[in-house]
Amino acid sequence: MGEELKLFRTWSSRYALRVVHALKIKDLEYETIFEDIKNKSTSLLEYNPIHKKVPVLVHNGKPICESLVILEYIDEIWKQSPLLPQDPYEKAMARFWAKFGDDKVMPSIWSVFISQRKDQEEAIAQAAGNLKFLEEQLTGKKFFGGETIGYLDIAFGWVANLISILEEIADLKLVDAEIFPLLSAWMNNFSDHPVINECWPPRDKMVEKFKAMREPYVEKVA
Amino acid sequence: MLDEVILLDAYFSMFGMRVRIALAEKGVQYEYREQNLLNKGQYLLDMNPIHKKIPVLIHNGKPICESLIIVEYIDEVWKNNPLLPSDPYQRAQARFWADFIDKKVNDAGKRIWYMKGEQQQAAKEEFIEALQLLETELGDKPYFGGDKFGFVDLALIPFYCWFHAYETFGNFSTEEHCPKLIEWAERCEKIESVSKSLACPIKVYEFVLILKKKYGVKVLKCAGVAQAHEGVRRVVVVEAGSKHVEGIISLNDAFRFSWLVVLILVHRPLDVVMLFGKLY
Repeated sequence: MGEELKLFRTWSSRYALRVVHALKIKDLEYETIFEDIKNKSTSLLEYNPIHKKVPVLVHNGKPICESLVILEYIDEIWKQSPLLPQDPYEKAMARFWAKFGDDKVMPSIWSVFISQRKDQEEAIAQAAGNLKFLEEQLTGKKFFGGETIGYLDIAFGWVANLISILEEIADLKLVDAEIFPLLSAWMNNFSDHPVINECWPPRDKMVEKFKAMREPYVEKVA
Repeated sequence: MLDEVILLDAYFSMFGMRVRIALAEKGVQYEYREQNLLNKGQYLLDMNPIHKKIPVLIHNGKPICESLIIVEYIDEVWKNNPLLPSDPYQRAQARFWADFIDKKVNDAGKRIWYMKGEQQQAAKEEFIEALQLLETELGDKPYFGGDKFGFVDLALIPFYCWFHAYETFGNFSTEEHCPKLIEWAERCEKIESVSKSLACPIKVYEFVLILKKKYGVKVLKCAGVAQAHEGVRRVVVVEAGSKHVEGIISLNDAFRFSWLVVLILVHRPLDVVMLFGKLY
């Protein structure tokens, strides 16, 4: 049956990467349209008029927006390699932690990245507190999904990819293997997984991009 | 085995109302426990240690948090009278719009009643724009779910009982800007699960009034992040538009205030809303 799948993404969007990973896990063929955020295509604006953002998955001409919504859609249409748990409670927990990642963990990591001195110390404490919750969720598990990669691993993909880049630029260590042994192990297991490691954006480009984003926040030392 | 269902909630919470409506739609028997949000009980803190917020649904001892996640859980456990559509694409659309409501309607609505001046005006415009987008999405359908009240209707309708407060503090009329949406809201109110779950708009207004008066909600402009001698990060707060220094407050304390405090840690002037008004 002819399924037409298109993914609108940028080269670096961590939200779009979630969809890339999910499509790879499900072994689905699709067309990629790379967007320039400063010059969005007419198609993107038509498919996502509300938020005008990536990612957008277009399935047989019908658009689905918001990365976590897209993940659930993919999981409901293509039943191979299930992403979400079957049990309603476990499903609710996966959704809860994915939301926690976006609403709390990411902003707290970002605060560490753009702040300095005393502000940064406080931001680090806040971020560490959030990361501790993630560490606890990995107790007795290789992946957040259990033995295999699932919805929550994909939702946290940015943790495995982006944090080390931000650490390198800001010259600090957030996810210390001694303090976060499970999370550190997960970051390696996830990144090295054959389905995942082919899809990372080029690291040097990422470092360059985030260095530039950090610029306005870094005080020039007199 | 008999299900034990407990809901930790607060009468005025739109998020709690979503869960009340969902449980009523499914005919689930449950124990409602009103929470004092200014003095949170240990049970709530145990059941939601991450966010310390309501609503929390506790099903046979297991807590579920975050209103839309709770509603999806309810829909999956109790299969009668489905709230979400069965078609995956329609489900994706429903989830998209529920997320939109949380991101746009909720945030702007809050800012209408606790901001003043330009910030309030901006909040009003965003709020109305969000409602108009929803009105377009509704179109000629009786409900967002089509012929039947569903997930998106449930996500939005609790805000309707807060409209009176928004309109009074913001001095505008939603009906003037979104008449079809008001018709939709009145249609929803006729549904029993909705009418018995929504708070009374007058009481909501009075509740907000009490908050504003008793706790001295002020819109203060954060003049900057100043270093204090003790090395603790402090924020200098001034009355918006004036140079008068209201006080200095530590960032740790600002973060510890209730959900109504908006303070963003940046090195430039921003609005700070002090709910409890205690300054150091």
